[in-house]
Amino acid sequence: MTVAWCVALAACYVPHIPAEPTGTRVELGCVALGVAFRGDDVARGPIVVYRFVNRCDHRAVIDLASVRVLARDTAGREVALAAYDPDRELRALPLPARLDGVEAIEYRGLERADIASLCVDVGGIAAGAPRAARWICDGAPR
Amino acid sequence: MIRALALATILVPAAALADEPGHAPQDVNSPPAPSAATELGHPVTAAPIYVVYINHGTEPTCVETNDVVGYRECTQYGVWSNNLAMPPLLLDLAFRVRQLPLAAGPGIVPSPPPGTAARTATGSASTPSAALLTTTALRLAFGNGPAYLGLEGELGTIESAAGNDTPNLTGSMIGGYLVGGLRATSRSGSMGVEVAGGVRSLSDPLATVQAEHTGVLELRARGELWVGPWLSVGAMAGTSIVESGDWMAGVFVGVHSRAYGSRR
Repeated sequence: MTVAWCVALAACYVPHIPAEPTGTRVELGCVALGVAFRGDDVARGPIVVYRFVNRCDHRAVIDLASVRVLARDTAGREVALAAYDPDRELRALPLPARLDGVEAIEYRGLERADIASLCVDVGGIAAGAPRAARWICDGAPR
Repeated sequence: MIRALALATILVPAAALADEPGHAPQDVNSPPAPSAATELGHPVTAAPIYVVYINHGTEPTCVETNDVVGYRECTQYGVWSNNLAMPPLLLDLAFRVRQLPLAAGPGIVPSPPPGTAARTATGSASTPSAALLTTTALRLAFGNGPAYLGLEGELGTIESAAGNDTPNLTGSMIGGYLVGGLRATSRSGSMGVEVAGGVRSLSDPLATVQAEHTGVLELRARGELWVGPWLSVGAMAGTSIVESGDWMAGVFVGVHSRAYGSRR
């Protein structure tokens, strides 16, 4: 009986090993962030994928609504893009200790075909970390 | 962490997110100047993302075809924060030694051990005064901050007995309790006190002792150390508030739903 309970409890314990962020990596205090760019068959604008891991033993606040996105069109003009958030979901949320998350967000303001380069300022994502501009750029995502 | 049984499968082709050859993302501290020499990004089309929620039957209740915010139908933004929507849970397994006082039973007086003279207590058959048990207990508790509340079940077997004679006593015990306590935490663990109240049943197939169904009110002290972000070990001891000679001591292993019980 004791052995059976040990086995049952051991089966419940599945330690979560957070996935390492892929893409361009940035360290923001407790948060390890990976940023990648891609397109989408349905979305009109470029997609930015954020993968983040909380490496601390306490929760960290993730604020993807703070990201600034700048695109340069083929004529060299700089255009600020806005996150596509029809349901007003983007907000600061706590990420539990030692856990990870991923979100993909579309940014609108220019058609993908008109974008020569795209940059995102992720310096404000980790709400507890000192706020400083951290630009990550990529070529034109189509 | 106590993880729910797997309910979703997410398939994302790695190629959809891998860096393409000759396409180097830049990390700079200011917006870049226009670069006519920048190679156009390689078009990357996201493969469909399938999130299948399997309910009690075999038919999926929701099939996701896009992982982009604003296009998803099954999952909300911020599912990675949902762990914090529930209070921290603790599931622990304890192994204990208990001593329980016993009442006189109506059954057979067992044979005395060899080499001893048969004796009877004044006016009644000889019965053991207390039983020593080994028990296993499973507890589910939840709580944020210093206070917690939980349910506990305990099973045990009688290992030996103490009394005027030492009969070969066998039997089992089953108990169910409601537990509430307070704890003081540190980086390495916690210490606290708790009260357990409930019902316990002791039975003996030989009817040497009276089958007891008794109420339980027990005061315990408990200490715990972290051995990992979601795993702790500890020890505890307790005694009945209402009955003398009723005590227990044991060790336990705990599995937590949040790293360090969300107490750091």
